[in-house]
Amino acid sequence: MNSPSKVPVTILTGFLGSGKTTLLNRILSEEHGKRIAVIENEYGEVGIDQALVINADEEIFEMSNGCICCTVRGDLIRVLGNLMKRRDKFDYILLETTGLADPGPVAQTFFMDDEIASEFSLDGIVTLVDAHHINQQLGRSLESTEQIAFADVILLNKTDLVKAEELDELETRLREMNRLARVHRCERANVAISTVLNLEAFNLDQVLADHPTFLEPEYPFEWTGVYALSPGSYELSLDDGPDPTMSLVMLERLDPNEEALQQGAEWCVRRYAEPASKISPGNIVPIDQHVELQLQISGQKSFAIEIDKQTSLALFAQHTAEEFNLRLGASDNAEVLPVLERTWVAQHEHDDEVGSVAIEVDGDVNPNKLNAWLGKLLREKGIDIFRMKGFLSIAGESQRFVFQGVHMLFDGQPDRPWGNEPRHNQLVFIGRNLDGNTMKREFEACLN
Amino acid sequence: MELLLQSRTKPNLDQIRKIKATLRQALKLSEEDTITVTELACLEEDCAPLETVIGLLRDDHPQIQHKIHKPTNSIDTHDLKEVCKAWGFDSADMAFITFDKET
Repeated sequence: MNSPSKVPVTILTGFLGSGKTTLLNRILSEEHGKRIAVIENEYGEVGIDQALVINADEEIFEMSNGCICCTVRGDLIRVLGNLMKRRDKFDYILLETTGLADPGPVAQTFFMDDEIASEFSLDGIVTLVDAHHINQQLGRSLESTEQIAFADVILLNKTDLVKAEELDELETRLREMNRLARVHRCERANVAISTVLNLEAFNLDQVLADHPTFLEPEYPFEWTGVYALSPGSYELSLDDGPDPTMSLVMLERLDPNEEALQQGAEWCVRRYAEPASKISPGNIVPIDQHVELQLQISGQKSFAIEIDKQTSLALFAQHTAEEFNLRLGASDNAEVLPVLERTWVAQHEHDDEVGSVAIEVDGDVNPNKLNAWLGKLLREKGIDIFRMKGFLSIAGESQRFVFQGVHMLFDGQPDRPWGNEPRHNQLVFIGRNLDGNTMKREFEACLN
Repeated sequence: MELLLQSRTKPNLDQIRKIKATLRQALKLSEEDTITVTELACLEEDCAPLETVIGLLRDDHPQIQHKIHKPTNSIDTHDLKEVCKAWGFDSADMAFITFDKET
């Protein structure tokens, strides 16, 4: 939603010692052709002489009028007001918050005063994370949780201080808290400038282009391979992988096309909900049943699959084939390759109370019903909704309606015409204790 | 409550700047003082769909704000005088002459 006439603003946030100032100095010292004004809450840390550096003292401005509770940063309103008078001196703003800053009021400032909103556009929120300490910080500090929840980009910094498997777990945790954010790993905040500036991160199209599966539902399996098989005996082989067991459901007569795959996936979700039979290496894997392959012994493990007539067999596996080097061999030892493969968005345990809700529905929404629902949602849950963005297909309107918001503040505008594109709606909310199923049901009730 | 309406009808920037300039003159504010003008869609069903919140931020003074139950574009001299009164200022009537003429 950046307009060319508006000055883009990137907010740099992150807990104490996460590397914000290192990143800031790195950005300022690179040749990128931008004249950057820096707004800092702490004195004397930016080491670049030519940068326009403005210091601001954190000052909270509560704009509460009974209907809308909006907390903004008074100091930023003043600083931005002054910067408006010097617009010819810079073409980008970097705003570094203190480690203990709540990003909500900072972000809301750009939606609050209408003159500021017309002059500046919030390009994105970049959160630095100290990979070595973030797990403890998330348990103790509300601010560090909210900094993750608000982020468009999470820089997982200081990766050299953490083991690879811990990093994987940490990244999974952060992604579960905020499915909108792009996560980049780095050491000493060394990332390409393009990963943090000019993100247009409030544009959901851009997010979807980077992460196309993120609006999909989560499945209990990560990978499916469809094999065209003749009658006979086959051997399913797996090497050592990340888990001592792997759940699997095999489904026969599944046509190798996307529609059949989706239908099969829904059927397999129900099978996955049933108790699994444990199958040890050397035994036959039953078809149409939830099984748990026992993979505790080291080295290659093999399981038998018996096929009595020509079929296409789909393996819905808990992990990707790559993770276990999963292969299917015929009786003559020749490897059988899948005719179709698919990777799914895997379901994970949600321990953190902060999470994301994605809604994707075809059709047109009734504007009156939508207004009523959004008003009620923001009134009742606005404090817990950190970020929202998406686009809507509003009945009677020829253009998509793009929106974004922070807490109770909602901003939207008509976007491009729908043309021949199927009309549909995509919404993403990041917040605390959001009831995704209820939100989806209530949104669907707004459809015409 | 009209969130979509608010999004479609953006407030007139000239009007916002005029409100700020008029209040600045009427309240004899310094360059350092900041006025904010925000048009909000009220989320309560029995409130006006759009209302305007005007805030004043000054050094060494408490932040103050006043709500006008109408969109920014409909604000007139009377509303601005009410803001000054609510904030306890003796506003100079001369300050509003320009606003009246141009509105």
